[in-house]
Amino acid sequence: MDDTKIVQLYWDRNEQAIPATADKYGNYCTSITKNILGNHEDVEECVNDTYMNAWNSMPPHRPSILSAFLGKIICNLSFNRYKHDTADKRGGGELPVVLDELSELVSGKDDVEEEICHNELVRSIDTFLDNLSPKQRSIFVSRYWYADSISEIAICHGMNDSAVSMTLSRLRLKLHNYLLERGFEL
Amino acid sequence: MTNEKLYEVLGDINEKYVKEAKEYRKAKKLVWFKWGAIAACLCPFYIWTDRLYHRQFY
Repeated sequence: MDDTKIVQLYWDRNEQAIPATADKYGNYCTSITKNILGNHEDVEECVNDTYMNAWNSMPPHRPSILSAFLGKIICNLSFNRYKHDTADKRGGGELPVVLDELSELVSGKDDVEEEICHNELVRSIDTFLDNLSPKQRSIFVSRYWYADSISEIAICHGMNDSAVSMTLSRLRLKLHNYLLERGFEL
Repeated sequence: MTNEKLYEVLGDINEKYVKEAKEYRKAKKLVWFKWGAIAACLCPFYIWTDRLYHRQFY
């Protein structure tokens, strides 16, 4: 079913919206949450919660890209679950490694002021991504948005694992320098 | 800033980049499908050569 029709079902408060979403984006949502949480019972719960959140957010929202809208919901839900699970010392999927890589870019200090510059930082990262080639951008987003494993990214982009790792390492350094040049205290 | 905060910031990037990467992720399924199809095509050939081999030497 076309995305605009699925969104319209939500707006019409038609309960068919949820099976239609599950049919088209169930596997997509499951793959994202599995990357973040690993394979355990929370995955199905997160996917179902995503449908419920989508039901509660539309209306008022009318997403232009439904997949990204659902992806963002499931990322947030899975990450919150991950933080809860980590506190309980339960394992995660690919995310611990992804977070470890991101540690190279930041000081690790929790600062109150950073809340203010959140949107500014997002805009700068958007500009940074805009200046990359589509392939580099996709590699970066696959790793740090979808939390895809290195080998999955390698398969998708027709590269070997070490080339992906090298690309990601260079992109992290490039982003780090880019943000520092723009005055962000990371 | 902590790595978790940065991960949350990255979660808010422009949706068009998320969509773009999704297209690359789709390609993964196509690669597996391609290799699956090649393997399926080679199966009868393998069985045929195996039988031929046994017929010749046993």
